[in-house]
Amino acid sequence: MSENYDRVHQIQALISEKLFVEVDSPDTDLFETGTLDSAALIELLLGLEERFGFILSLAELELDDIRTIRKIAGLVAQTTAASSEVQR
Amino acid sequence: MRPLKALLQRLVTRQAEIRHESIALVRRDQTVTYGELEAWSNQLARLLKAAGCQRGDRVCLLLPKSIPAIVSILGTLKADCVYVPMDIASPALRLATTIQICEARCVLAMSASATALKEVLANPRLPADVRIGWMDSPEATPEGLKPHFTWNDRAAFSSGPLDHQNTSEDAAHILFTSCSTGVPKGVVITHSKVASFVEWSTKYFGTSPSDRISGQPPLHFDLSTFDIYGTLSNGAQLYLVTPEQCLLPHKLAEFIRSSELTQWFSVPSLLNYMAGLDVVKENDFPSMKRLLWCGEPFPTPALIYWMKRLPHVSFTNLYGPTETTIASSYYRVPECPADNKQLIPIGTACEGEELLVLDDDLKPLAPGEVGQLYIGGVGLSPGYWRDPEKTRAVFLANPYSQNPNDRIYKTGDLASTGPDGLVYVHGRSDSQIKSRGYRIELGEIEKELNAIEELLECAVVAVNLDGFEGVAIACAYTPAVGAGITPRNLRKRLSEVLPHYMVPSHWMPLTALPHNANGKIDRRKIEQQFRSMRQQGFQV
Repeated sequence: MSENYDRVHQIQALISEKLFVEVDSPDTDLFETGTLDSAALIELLLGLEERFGFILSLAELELDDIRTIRKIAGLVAQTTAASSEVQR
Repeated sequence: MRPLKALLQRLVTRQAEIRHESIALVRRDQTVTYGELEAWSNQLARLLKAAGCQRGDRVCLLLPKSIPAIVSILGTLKADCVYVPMDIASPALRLATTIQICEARCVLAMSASATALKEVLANPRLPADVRIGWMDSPEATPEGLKPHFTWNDRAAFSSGPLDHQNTSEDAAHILFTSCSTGVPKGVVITHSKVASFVEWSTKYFGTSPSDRISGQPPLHFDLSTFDIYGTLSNGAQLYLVTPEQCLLPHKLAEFIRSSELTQWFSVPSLLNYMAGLDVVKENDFPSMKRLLWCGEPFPTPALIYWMKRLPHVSFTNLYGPTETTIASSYYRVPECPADNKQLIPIGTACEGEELLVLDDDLKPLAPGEVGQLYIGGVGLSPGYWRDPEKTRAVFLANPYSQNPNDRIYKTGDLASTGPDGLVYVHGRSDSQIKSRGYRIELGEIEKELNAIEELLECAVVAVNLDGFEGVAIACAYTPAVGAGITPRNLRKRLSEVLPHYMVPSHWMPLTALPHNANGKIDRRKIEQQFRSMRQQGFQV
C-alpha cells in the first residue's frame, strides 16, 4: 500500500476517534458537511500533532489545505518532509 | 412604546424603492443589489404561492446563510407565509421532527444541505405532501431528487410588487430550541416584535446606509434576525460570513479588515477564539464603529483584549432569550475593565421592554438580592408553536400592569439589580446552559441517554473550561453489567438524534454515580470530578 493511502486511512481513523464522526470518502468536503467547526479543528490539529509528530499552527493554515481528508494527508506529507529536511 | 405595525418585508422594499442600485448583500465575491433582492423575492413569493403555499403556511429553510436564503426569507414573507430556519448539520431525525411539528408546506434546500435533505426525505416522519424547493442551479440537483421547483423557475414569474394579506401581528418566523422533554419547542416571532427591536436599535446605534454589517450567526439563531433586518431595513450592506471564514481566526480578521466592516455582531465564543489566538492588532479594523455581542457572557479577559486593541470602537452587550425577540437589554461598556474578574451587566431594558427581578412569589427584590429575571414589554413572543401548556408555564400575567393582557416571560436566569441600577445575571436556576452560543437543555441530552438500555444511570453536566468554547458538556455514566458500552458508542448513538454541539465531549464511566442525602444524583460532585480530571487532562 502506498504511504499516502496509509496516511489517508490514519487521518480517517483519527477523525473518527477524536471527533466521533465517520467520513466515508477522503474527498468529502469537511466544511460543507459541518464536520469541521472551530472546536473540531483544534481537536484535529492536536490529534495530527500527536499522531504524526509535527506542529502546524493555525496561522499557517489555508482552508483549502484541510478541506478534505486527502488534502490533510497531503499537508501532513508536505510538513513532515519539510521538517525532515530542516533536521538534516 | 407600542409594537410597531410594520411588515418586515415592507421595511426592505422601502429601501429597494429609494436605493435600487445600492448593494444589499455581499457573500465572498458575489454582490446583490436592493433592486435584485426585491425582484428575486417577489418572483419567489409568486413561485411559492403557485406551489400551493397559503397565508400562514410554514416554509422550512434547510439552507445555510446565503444569498438564496435571504431571498427565501423575504419571498416567504411576501407569500404571507412563515419561515422556519433549520440547522443543516442537525441529525435527519431532528430535522424531520421539526418539519413534522410545524406541519411545513414546503422545504427549501440547496447543494450545501443536499446530504441533510437526502436523509430527511428518507425519514418516515417527513409528511408525504411537503413540497421540496431546490434553491440552487438545476445542474447541482442531487441524483434521484425530483424537487417541485427550483431556483431558476422563479424567472417565469413577475418580479413586480405583489399584494399581501399578512399583518404585523402575524408570525414571521418560528425558531426551534432545545427542550428538556426531548421535543424541540418552536418560538413564534411576529413581524411587529422584530420591527420594534429594529426601530430601537437603529435609533440607538445610528445604523445608516453607509454601514457595512456582518451577518455571521446562522439563520436558526435569533441573533441572525437582527443582522438581516437591522441592515436591510436601513439600506446598509450585509456581509454574509460563511462558517468557513470563522474557522481560521487570522482569516476572519483579514476578512473583517478587507471588508471594512463598520459593525460586528456575534456570540462571544468566536471573539474569545480570536483573542485566544491573538489575531487582532493594535488599532485594528479602522472602519469599525461598533462591536456587539449576545447569546452568552463575554469572558472579561477576552473583552479586555479586544477593548485595548480597538479603542475607537464601542462595545455593547445585548441580552435576551429567543422568547423576547433578539434582545431585551443593552449595556455599552464605558471603558476597558480594569479587573479580569469584573462582571459585565446586561444593563437596562431596551425601549418598550422591562426587566424585573422577582422572588418566588413574583414580588420585587431589593437591589443586591438575587432572584428570577423576568422580561416584559413589546418583545414578548406570543408563545410556543401549538404548545399552550409550555407557553403558560413561562409566559405569565404581568402582576404589575393595568392591562390584563400584558405578560412577563420567566427567563430562568438568576439576576440582581446593582447599586448602579443595572441588572446583573448570575447563572441559571435550571439545567439550561449556553455553549458557543447554543442554548442547550442538559435534560434533553439525559433523556436521550436514558433511552439507551446499556446505561444504568447517567448525569450530564456543564464544565467551565479555559478554552474558547467556555463551557463543555460532560457525561458521567454507569454502564449495565457486561454491556461493554464505550464513550465512542454513546457519542455515535447521540449523534443520530442530537446536533453535534449537544453531544458531550467528555465522558466518565463510574461503577456508581454519587448521590446526595436526598438520594438525588450529586451533580456538583460530578462537576468537581471532571474539573480535577481536567487538571490532569481529561480521559475520554
